[in-house]
Amino acid sequence: MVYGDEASKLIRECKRSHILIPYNTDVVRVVINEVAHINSELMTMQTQHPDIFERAEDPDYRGVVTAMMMMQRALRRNKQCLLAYHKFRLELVKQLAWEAQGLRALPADAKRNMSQQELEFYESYCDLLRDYSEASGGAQANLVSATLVPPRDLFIHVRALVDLGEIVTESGAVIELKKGQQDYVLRTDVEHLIAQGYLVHKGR
Amino acid sequence: MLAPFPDFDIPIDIDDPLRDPIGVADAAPFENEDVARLVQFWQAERFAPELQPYPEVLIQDVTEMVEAQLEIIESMKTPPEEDFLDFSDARHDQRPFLAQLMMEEVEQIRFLLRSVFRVRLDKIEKFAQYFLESDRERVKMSMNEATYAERFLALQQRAFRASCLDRLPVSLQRMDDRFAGVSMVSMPDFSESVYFRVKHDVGHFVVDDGPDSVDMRADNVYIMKYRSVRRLVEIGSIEIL
Repeated sequence: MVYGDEASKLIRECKRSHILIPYNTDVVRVVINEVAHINSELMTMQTQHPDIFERAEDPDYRGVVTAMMMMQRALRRNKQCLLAYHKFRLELVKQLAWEAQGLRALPADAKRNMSQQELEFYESYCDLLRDYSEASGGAQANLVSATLVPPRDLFIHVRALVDLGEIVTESGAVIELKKGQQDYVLRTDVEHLIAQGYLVHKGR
Repeated sequence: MLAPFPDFDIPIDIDDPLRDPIGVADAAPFENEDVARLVQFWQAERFAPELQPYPEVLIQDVTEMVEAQLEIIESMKTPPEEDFLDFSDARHDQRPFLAQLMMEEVEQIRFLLRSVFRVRLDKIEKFAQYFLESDRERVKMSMNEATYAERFLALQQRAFRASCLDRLPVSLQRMDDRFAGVSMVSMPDFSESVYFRVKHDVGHFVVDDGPDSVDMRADNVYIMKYRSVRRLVEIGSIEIL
């Protein structure tokens, strides 16, 4: 076994895929076990050579000091890789939360690929986004749901992909969106439906 | 013969935006500088690596302006009863068109606000720990943003602890270690380059303790490392493009 080999598998996994693939419970566990193993070895060496720090310059101890340094490095390396792996995945989880506009509506396959902790993070993060958006109020009310594309047209042509029934607009009017039907509507009224994939924006 | 164009002017800004980005030189009577200032702030926030101080008054003013404008637009949509059938009034016909123009402007301002907030959130998430630990950085966030930063950091740390840190030896559980000279707390990268325009003559500016110096005059545009000009951004001598 080479120290850090398993941990680098996690990093390679991040490099390979930019969507949320199944959480790698096994490798994470192996890495954590490896850390525990190296740590106990290190502890044993320290108890065997309690005076190691005073004798760091002693040529007879050079081997022991080097071994301990290597282990210390391996521990840090493994921790760094673990955090990097989880951080990378949290970024993807955050992205899903933005796509769902903080509504906790999670596609089933994404949900399957998340660990329990990631699922909890996802839900709390959605709450956080909603709370922030509400607290900002006013013109930023649709902070989370609106697109980040500069607006060009006030009204747009859209086609409904599913029956959406009646939608109450900002101005209080009611519009009915039926499957397959093309409508000319106020962009801001339907933006969230486009983001959710219920409507498609037809070009001019 | 074509009818003359209706009697309102659409202000078209054909000034060189680099020379006079906030239109001070020939401000029209009803022109409000807040939107131009918001655009400037939006640019700075997008291109500077660190968080710019939260412009509370500006954001509040613009938000109020948007709300006031929305009320006006709403009132234009429902014309008063008496001139509903009065087609002799030319203004009557223009109203829906005017309302639409105003609405488009409101939408653009709202987009700016959203974009500003989201760029800031992105930085706050990336550097939450760094911003919260230093008083100097903390005051750059609004109350709302500081709460967001605290909650986000707590969420992220809880996720890290539950998924792996808790199962590591105690000596490896910290989140604010330094190892081989690198801190675990991420910081903005101050060596990123920024484009900026000099607002008023600065004189000889010594770059990074010399030996190079630049004679900075108003309206000059440069590209430099953010670190070198950070102080000039803070005192408002330059604006980031």
